[in-house]
Amino acid sequence: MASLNEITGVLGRTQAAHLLRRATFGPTIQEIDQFAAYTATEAMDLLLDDSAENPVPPIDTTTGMTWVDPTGVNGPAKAAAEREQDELFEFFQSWHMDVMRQAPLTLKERITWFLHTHLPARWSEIRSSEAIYYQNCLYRHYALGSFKELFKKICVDNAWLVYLDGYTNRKNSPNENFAREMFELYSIGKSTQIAEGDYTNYTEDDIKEATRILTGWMFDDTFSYLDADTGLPIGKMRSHMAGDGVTELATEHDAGQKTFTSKFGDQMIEPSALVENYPTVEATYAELDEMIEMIFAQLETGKFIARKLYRFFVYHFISSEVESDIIGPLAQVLIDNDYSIIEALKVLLKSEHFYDADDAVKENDNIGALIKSPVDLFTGLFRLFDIQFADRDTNTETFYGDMGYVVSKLVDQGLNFYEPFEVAGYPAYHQIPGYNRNWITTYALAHRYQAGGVLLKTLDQGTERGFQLDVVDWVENSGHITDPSDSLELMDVLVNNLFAVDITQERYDYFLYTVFIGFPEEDPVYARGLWSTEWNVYKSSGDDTEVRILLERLLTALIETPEFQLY
Amino acid sequence: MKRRQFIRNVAYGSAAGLTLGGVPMNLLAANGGLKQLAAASNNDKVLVFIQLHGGNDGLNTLIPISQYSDYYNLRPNIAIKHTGTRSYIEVDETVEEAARVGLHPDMLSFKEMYDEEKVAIIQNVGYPDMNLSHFRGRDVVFMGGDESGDNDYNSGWMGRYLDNIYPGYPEAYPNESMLDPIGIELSGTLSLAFHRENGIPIGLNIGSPEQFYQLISSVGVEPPIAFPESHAGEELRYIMEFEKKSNEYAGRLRDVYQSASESTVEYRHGYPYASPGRANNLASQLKLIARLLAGGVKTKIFLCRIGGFDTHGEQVEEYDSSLGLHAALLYNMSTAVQDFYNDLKARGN
Repeated sequence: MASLNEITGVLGRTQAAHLLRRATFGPTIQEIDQFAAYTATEAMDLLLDDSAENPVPPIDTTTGMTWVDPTGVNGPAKAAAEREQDELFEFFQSWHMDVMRQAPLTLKERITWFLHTHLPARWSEIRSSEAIYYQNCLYRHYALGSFKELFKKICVDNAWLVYLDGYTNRKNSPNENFAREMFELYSIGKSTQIAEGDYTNYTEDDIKEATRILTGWMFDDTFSYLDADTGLPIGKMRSHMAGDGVTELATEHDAGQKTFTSKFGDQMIEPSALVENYPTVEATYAELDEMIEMIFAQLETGKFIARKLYRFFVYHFISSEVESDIIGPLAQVLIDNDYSIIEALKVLLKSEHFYDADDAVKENDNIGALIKSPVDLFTGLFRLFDIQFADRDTNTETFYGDMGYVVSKLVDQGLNFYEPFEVAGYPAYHQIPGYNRNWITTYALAHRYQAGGVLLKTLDQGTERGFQLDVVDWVENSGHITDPSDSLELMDVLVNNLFAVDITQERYDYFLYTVFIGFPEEDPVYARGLWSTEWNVYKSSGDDTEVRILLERLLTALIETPEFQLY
Repeated sequence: MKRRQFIRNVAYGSAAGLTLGGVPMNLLAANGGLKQLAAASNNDKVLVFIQLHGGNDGLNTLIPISQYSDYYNLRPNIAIKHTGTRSYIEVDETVEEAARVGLHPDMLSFKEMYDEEKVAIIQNVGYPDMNLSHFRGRDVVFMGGDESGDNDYNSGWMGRYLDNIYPGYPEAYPNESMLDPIGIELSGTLSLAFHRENGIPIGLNIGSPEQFYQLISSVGVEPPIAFPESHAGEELRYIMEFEKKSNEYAGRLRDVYQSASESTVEYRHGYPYASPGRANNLASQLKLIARLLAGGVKTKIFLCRIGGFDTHGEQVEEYDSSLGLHAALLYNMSTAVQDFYNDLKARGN
């Protein structure tokens, strides 16, 4: 049976690499070696370190400062009206990709990204670079905190008020869009329809009542209204001042009593205070709070979030065994810990199940079984090979040019970065039946196979880009290969760190003798000697032409494989 | 069958008496029906399926003339007018009163095609107890079942249907009798429709065949032949099979594409009114299909997608309910389809 029992002993290299691949944006070789000596608990403690500063906001090249700083210290909270929002958004995209590339070896940015895949945003609908940036900050703020508390904020988040039409939802003209998606996609999830309008976990009436609770909020396009808990700009309740001059009254919020169905224990929610026949603004927040508590008290909500976590961190397919042995208990951990994602991950990422140590059966093993997202594919390579980019704060033009190019490659590989086709998010994270397999389409797969070319400096044409992998330099100077003239050592280092799955001797030999050295018919010892000679010629002559061709051919080939797509 | 009979037969929700490929419509839901249909498919007909992504507002596409006052009273702010300029276009005055419908004023192309008997209209298609979810609705359309009773699928109806015609996919293909991809999706993704019950989907997605060929032929080393007995092994096999099919079809598609000429028909791009227009993404997809067909492709199903139908508050302009995002989308859709027909005709079909 699948087990959440904690594994014992030190991780060793295989388990450490597995943990770091899933919990971060990709480890370096040193980091894997370091973590190999830790127990799962020691490793998780390090991954939960929160001592690093949050990334400073993106810079606008035209002003040399940021346009998204609610404190006003480093720039205004919003761009000048004449600034082109499309361009600012592209800055944000590059910024976020770079934040992930440079993320500390901890879970915080990983969970921030997970939250975006679960609670997505679509640029062409939102069209405010500020709102999208502040939403990203909100995810970061709660990454190590409570998903439930985050949910209360996201309901009135500026970007989401636009994306899901919440800003049009008023007491006399309700808009159910937000409430409908809130139940179906983001919190408790939709289940079988067991009667008309009854989806097992909630009903059409619950959507209507939730819609009433969500009435009255507006998009604050000044970004000056800051949430007291996070210090971040947030949507605002439409209001006017009461006769007493101090009490804010919600003018567009439904003042009546809302009654949920038996799915939620027939719970009734109403404003605690009416003044001059309007609910106080304070009372409207209390109502929202009460409703979210009600939804998140349901075991099904815990399970829905647990499944999302499982698909993101472990494997996309959930068997009935996993459903009962993993998802159920994990849901309970979430509920018992105020929906702290990290409390759930502390259990999941230390468990025998995560490390394939719960049984002797190989068929259900999960190591290497996830298909990398395009983000993971690139950040993994950037970090493994320590590829440097222009500084995003000081060398902005070059940085945005280079990272914008990477972002265009994410799109080619099937990740429409901040432009998911639908409010459910990127297909790989939700679309039945393939889930994770949605990354693989003919078009996207070919572009994934070309990732090596994106990184490599080629011999004939120096790339115009400011970032590149100099594979000869890496082999010679990274310190990971003691003797570069030893083709076996070289192969071992590359194969072990590029592939999360073991390959057969036959396959290994194919890469070594056919692809790399190019003498498959020769005696292996002789063939390897050819490489040694080639390397020594380079060392004595300083001409790296031949070794570069061979090394680039090998690296490109290793990336152009099904094996490299997995992690 | 005459198109006019077609609309009469089914406009009111009942599909009784309607057959597709000799198979009664009401049997099609079950897999047996798909098998029968497949058996009757020994011809060169192809299906071009256009997904209007986001949930099209059917009532502003086909305005129910016989219930116009109900229609208007339920949606006065977005209803299409029944008189004056930019009022709805009556499709066919000769059908029975209850079946009379009007087209959105920007669907003039559809009206023309209807008059040429190139358009049939089937209304009230759905599934029992619709649950108002866009995602569910879309999945049901592609799965061809609502997971109730005998309809419990984990695959798409196109995938199952094509699996019946072309058994043994992917190993047995391409072969001499079927050189082409069995299904093609013109988008960056591969939707649920082409999924079979097991294994890789029966379709593949492409942009331009020439670029596709260049892309595919520029990458790839020998695929693995051994797979671990783990989940990772299953995923490896999946990716490997996908890669193999892409390689096998890339050259063929390029040849087919290059053997046909550029279209002589100018496809209309963009909405002519001062309304939030959108580029006509459908036109380029249909244009490509026309060229592949002219080149002799035998692909059985093409799947196109045009997005943006989840219009919400942007459906109409406040000053004129016949203008707005929805109008632009319907214009794009109908002109693209008409241009497609003209293209096919100009190519001798």
